[in-house]
Amino acid sequence: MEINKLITQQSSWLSGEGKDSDIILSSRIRLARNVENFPFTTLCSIEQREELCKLLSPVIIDSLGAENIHKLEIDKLDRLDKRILVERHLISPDMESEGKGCAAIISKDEQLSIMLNEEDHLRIQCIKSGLHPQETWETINKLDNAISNIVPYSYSSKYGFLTSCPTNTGTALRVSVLIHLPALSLTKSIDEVLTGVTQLGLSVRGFYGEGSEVLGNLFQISNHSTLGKSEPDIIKGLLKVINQIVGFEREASENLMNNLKSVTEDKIWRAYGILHNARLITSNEFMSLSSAIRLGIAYGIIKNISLKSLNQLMFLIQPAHIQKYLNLDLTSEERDGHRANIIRDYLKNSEVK
Amino acid sequence: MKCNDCDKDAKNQFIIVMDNEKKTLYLCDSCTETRGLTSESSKDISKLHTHSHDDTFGSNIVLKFAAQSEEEKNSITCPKCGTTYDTFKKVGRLGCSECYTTFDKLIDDLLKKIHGSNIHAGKTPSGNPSQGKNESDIISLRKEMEICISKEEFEKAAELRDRIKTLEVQNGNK
Repeated sequence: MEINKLITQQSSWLSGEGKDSDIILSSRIRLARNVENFPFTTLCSIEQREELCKLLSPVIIDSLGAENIHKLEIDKLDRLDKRILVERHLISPDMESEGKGCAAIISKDEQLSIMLNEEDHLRIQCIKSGLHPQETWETINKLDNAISNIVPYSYSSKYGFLTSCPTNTGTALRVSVLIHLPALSLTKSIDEVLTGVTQLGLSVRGFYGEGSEVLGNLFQISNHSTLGKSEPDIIKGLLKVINQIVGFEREASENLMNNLKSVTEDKIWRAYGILHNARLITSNEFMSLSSAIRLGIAYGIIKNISLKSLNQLMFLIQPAHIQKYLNLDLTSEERDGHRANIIRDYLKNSEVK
Repeated sequence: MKCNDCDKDAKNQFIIVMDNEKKTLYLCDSCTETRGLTSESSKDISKLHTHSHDDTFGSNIVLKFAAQSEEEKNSITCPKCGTTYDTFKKVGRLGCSECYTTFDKLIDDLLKKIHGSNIHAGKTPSGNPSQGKNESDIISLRKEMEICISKEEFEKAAELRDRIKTLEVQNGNK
């Protein structure tokens, strides 16, 4: 597979389209499954892992269409390529470091990514742009049923789908949205909202998932429990809370414009200025600035950058992407310089006149 | 430990308060039942009379029902993959699907803590499950149903009853 090609194309879920896409970047569902008559992944030998890949790949490829997917053997990839897949949210850091006997099947539009032999035998992920968890579930459910018709899953009528870690047992479903909450952050209401979210049985994480810090006012909000409710109910539950939060964000956003207009506009235009002119930018700084730009786009203040471009830029400025793009081994500072260049060029070329 | 009543191997440990004195009593499973000291009844203090031939235990308050000692719990091993409960506690991962049956009771509490429930309410796999699995599932679902009934959670019990019926039909058809 051409990882080089991958970094120049656009992930379909970065399109900036879909419901509430000014606030919700994407909806994601992850399903975990294990195959009966094999131990869970950590206890599998290399031969067993290869057997599992042989068992599962044909069914998956058949269901999605061989012309629509890339199949990757993770231990055959070099370090940089694996990093790129992590940066594009296609494989997990766990798979990046493990690698032995692992494979990934990725749809060409990057909407679907199936990891084989990560923490569980099968980790299926589907991501769509905007607030569309139900459609995401329909896509992933279809694939799950296609696999289940041919390969027997580890399942118990009492506990549901059996996973290596009990925190995932039952539906083994993790549904999350990537949500941008700049107004709530700026008006200092964010802590209250997030505490409320946790009390309702949901988890909040930063942009890079478990254990990551909050960058660019981006939050991943997901269900916490996977056992005891049906899949549609879990999704409905999350949707209800997210809709409320979107409402709060829009309210706070309006407040900002009414009460802190000049401060907010200044913040947005300063970010615009820096991105167009700076010679050194770190990833973290970019995330902060892009949050202000995103807010500016939502307000209609910034008219010549699209959400699609901003999202794409968010991927391109990541460390491994830069190194691959320039085909160079770079130090952190050199990267910061190249990052600034890439940003200036990209904005120049993609701006709507 | 040897059973106080019949001298067989005793897995169950009781602490009995009698005349302000604490005594430890070891009983095997069948003598535990004979005395009426099953885990459900021990929660209802009014039912706690020990009816044994040894009158010194008369009507006492059974303070604690410890099913197994910590050591014994930790050494329970999954017959299929060899994972011990101790390993699971340290690593946080189970070894195979059989572990869920092996550590059934121990995992139940953990699941309730994490998820607020220990019963799956979502989809079933679209393919055909293996029959052997069904039998152990039927047994554990039945136990859960009885617990629901004793707690008067009749709606939940009815759901479980229906699920058991489906599994029994599946078994009958194979």
